[in-house]
Parts: sequence; structure tokens; C-alpha cells
Amino acid sequence: MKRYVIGRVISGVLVVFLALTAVFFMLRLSGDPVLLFAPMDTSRQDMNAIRERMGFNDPLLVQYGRFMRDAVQLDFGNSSRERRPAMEVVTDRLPATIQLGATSLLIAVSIGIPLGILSAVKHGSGWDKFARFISVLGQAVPGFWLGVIMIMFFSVRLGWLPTSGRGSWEHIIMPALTLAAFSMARYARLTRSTFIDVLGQDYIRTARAKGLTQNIILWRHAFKNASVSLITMTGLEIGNLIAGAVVIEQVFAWPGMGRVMVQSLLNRDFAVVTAAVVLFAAMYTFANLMADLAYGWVNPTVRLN
Amino acid sequence: MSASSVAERNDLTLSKRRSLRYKLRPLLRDKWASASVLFLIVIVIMAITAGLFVPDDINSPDFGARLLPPLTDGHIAGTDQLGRDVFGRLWLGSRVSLVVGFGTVFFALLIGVPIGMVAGYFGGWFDTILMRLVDVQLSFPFILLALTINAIMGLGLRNILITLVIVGWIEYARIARGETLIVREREYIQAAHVSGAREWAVILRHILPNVTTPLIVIGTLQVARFIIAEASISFLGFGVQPPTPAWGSMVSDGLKFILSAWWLITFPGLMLALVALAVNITGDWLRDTLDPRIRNR
Repeated sequence: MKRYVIGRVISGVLVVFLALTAVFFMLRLSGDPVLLFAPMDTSRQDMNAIRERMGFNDPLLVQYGRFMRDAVQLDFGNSSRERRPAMEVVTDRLPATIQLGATSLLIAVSIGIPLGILSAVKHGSGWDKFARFISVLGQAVPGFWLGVIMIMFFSVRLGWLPTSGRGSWEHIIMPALTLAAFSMARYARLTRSTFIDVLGQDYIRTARAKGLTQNIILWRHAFKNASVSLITMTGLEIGNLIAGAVVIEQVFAWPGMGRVMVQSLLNRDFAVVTAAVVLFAAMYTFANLMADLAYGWVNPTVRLN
Repeated sequence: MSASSVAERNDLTLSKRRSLRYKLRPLLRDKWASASVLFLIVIVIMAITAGLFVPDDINSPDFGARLLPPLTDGHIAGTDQLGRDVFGRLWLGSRVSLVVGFGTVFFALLIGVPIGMVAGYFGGWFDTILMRLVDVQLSFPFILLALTINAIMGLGLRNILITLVIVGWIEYARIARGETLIVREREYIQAAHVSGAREWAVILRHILPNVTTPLIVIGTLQVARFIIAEASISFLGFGVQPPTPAWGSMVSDGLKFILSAWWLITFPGLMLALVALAVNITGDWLRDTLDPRIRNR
């Protein structure tokens, strides 16, 4: 178990390292970095001076080594726009993203799973059709559009909720619902198919024959076995929520990591982009590791190695 | 039963089997799937014929007709802030979505499947490198990677297509590799080896036909994913640039007029949702029909 965790952490570090390498070479090969932030009227000599000072005239491998040395210390240089460490710019926004992601996950789980169970138990009924329709729809509607439509309806038309920003609890309702829609649909779908499988198993029939109530069968017998695949999915879903946040945060001007990332891409503030990419990748890898560990914990027959 | 009537009956079944109606039977039985396929066919025809029906000056402004609501002066879906007909722009915009959706899957399959099959079949260092790449890619949210690459590569339709292929091919390589690993161990592959078939002939003739089904199903479902991804990227201001109409950027253009012109935002997004819905339903149906093994996954 311990060896497995260590192995996974090492492979996670390796992945982030490879990702950093890719980002470094893509950025360097995409053009002259000085042209990006130097004012238009900078003279050629000044440009060269900047290049020399910032080390852009050194061989690429030397630059790469320097970049990696700093990156290991989580130093990605200064934001060219905010004139402070890029990592700081990103981590400042971390709480907002976590708040949004966690709220969305909570919504997705607490609506999606019951909907899926209901759908499986009343297999073929009107409820089932409704739940399946919702889950197909939820996976098709583009998140950004759903967000805009909600703004149009609840903020502009009805004036119930604030259109954008972060502050009171009212601010988080629409972004969280929008972000949760896709995940909720996937939870409903997976829960439904898993429960249909599980409820057809012999031990469920045995439990019914013993005269146990539907509630005990569902929650104690079926849910435990269904939870294995639900937990695996949650690891992936956390990743999807992070990815979705990149777009949704922009719609609602939610001041999170996704928004700062998009803004930095638009401003070509690549130090911040790099820092954000690394932090996103680290969070993503961590979520998947947690899901794997939880998987081994709920299902001891899985040998982690 | 006389010999002639048996022959006659076989003949009948054969002609019946050849008829289009018989071939389409599994599709016609599912009304949602047939409606979806029909809808997609209509959209594809619209995209192809856009040049014939959408006027050439669709992107030139007409300030006399700014922000007209739907169904006024012959503008079915109204006009935008520059007086351009929204319906015509939606029609033209279908091209971007379809080219990106189907084009990405096509090229990603073209690149990913051979690489995945070779990696799965031969193993070795090539396989190790591929699996490392898969690890790296799985540690990134898809849209994040696409955004970053697109921002670095530059904007425009061609670059967003290349971006999505770069991000997308690994998925198919991974699936092709996994399927090849399973098929490789089958007895008929060993039989092919024993009968003296060359390696590449085994891959092309015996393995390829047996790994295509899951790839077709996942490829279809991915069309919707890439269409939404392109729309999201264009919505954020990357990707397809004005004045080329794309459904995603049309929504973001409409945002400035959210107070007054609901149609600018509503219609392009509705088109995206309907196309994605139709593609997903078709993909689910394909999965149930072609490959019951991966059902419900």
C-alpha cells in the first residue's frame, strides 16, 4: 500500500515535470518572448538589452535548466501584468475555484445519484424516462450557454440573482448550478446503469427473500457495491469540474484560477499561464490519486500495485 | 417443401435483405435515434449548401436593420447589432461546428489508431513512450490544454482544428492499444502467424477489423465533445475569429445585448445543444447496436 502510494506520487511528479517541459518548449518556440511585453516603440538596442538581461540570448538548454531550477521552487517568474510572482497571482484565486468546484460537486452528487437510483429502481417507468432525458440533455447543453441563459432569465428578466462576481451566497448559486449540470447528468447515468447491474445480482435476491425492507437493501446492500464505480468516477469528475470552471468562471466573472488563466492567455502573460497549468495538473493528479486510494479502501479485493 | 419454393423463398429474403428499409430496421425501431440521424443529415446538407442559399454579403453590416427581433422584415431569427441576418449566420456557422467536430475525429483517428495499434502489437519502448504521453495528457483537463495550445498556435479555424487533433488523438491511440492487446492474444491471430502471414498483414487484416467497433462508437460520441469544445474556445475569444460566424462566438457577441436582444444568445446555443444532443443519441444507439459489450459505460 505504502509502496503503491509512493509509486503513484513519483509518477505524478514525473507527469508534472513532462508537462512543464512541454509548456516551456511550446512557449519558447511560439515566438520572441520580449516582443510580447515590450512596448511597441522599444528600440532594437533596448530589446537586445532586455533579452540579454532576462537570459533569452542563452542557449535553449541553458534556459530550460534555469526554468526547471526555478520551477522546482515553484518560482515561475513574475506576472508581466501584475508585477508580482506568478504563482502568487494564481494561488490567490485558489480558494474561489475550490469553493465553486466543491459546491458544484455537492450539487451534482446530491441530485445525480438519487436521480440515478430512482431511475434504476423504477426501471422503465415515467421517472426513468424523465431521468434519462435529463441526463442526455445535461451532457449535450454547452455549459457557457446554460450560464448565459440563466443570467438572462434569473438576473435580467426576474432580477433575483446577481449576474456576476463573488461575494454573498447568492453569487455562487448560478455558477455552481451551471458547472454542476454536466456532472449531475453523468452521475445520474452511471448510477442508473450500476444500480441496474447490482440490483440484478443474486445477493440482492437473497436479501429480498430474507424479507429486508427496500431501504435496507438499497442503501446497505446495493449502494455499497455500486459506490465502487461512483468513487472512481468522482476522481474523474473533480477533473471535469476544474476544466469546466475555466469556461464557467469567465461567464460569471467568478474570480478563480480558470478566469485568471483565460485572462492571462488573452494578455499573453505566460508566467501566470505556466503557474496555472502546473497547479491545475497537480490538483488533477491529486484528485485521481485520492480516487484510486478510496477505490482500494471500499473494494478490498482490488490489489493496489 | 419442393426445391423450387425454397429457392424462391431464399430469393425473397435476399431481395428483402438488400432493401434499404430492411437495413435501416434497427434504426427505424428507435424513434429517438432515427430523429437524431435525420436531424444530423439535415444539418450536414445545410452546411454543404450554405454557399448556395446564404447571401455573400451576410457578414456586411446593414445599420438600418439593427437588432430587429425574430420574424420581422423576413429575418426569421432577427438581426444582430450590425444588422446582419442571424438565421443566415447560423446557417453559415454550422460549417465551423461540423468541420471541427467531424474533422477532428477523422484526423485524430487517422493519427491515433495506427500509433495505438503498433504500440499495442509490438510493445517495447514505443509502447512505453505512448503510455507516458497518455499519463501526461490525462493529468490535464482537456479544455485547458486545448486553450493553451490554441493561444500559442494562433487563432482561426485551421489552428483550432489542429489544436483539437493534437489534444484528441491520444485518446484513440489509448483505445486502439487496449483493444489490440486483447485481440493480439486470440487464437486466430496465432493461426495467422502459423500460416505465415507477415506482421503488417496481421495488423491490417486481422487486428484492425476487430478493433474498429469501439473506435466508431467513441468517435461518434466525441464529435459532440469537440463541437462543444470549439464553441467554448471560440466563446472565450480564442479559436474562430470575426467576421466568420461560429455558434460559440455568436453567443459571446450577443452578451453585450443581453438586456435587449435575447435572440442573439438563444439561437446559436440552441443549435449547439441540438446538434450535440443528436450526436450523443446517435452515438448511444450505435453503441447499443454494434457493441453490447460496452453498453451502459
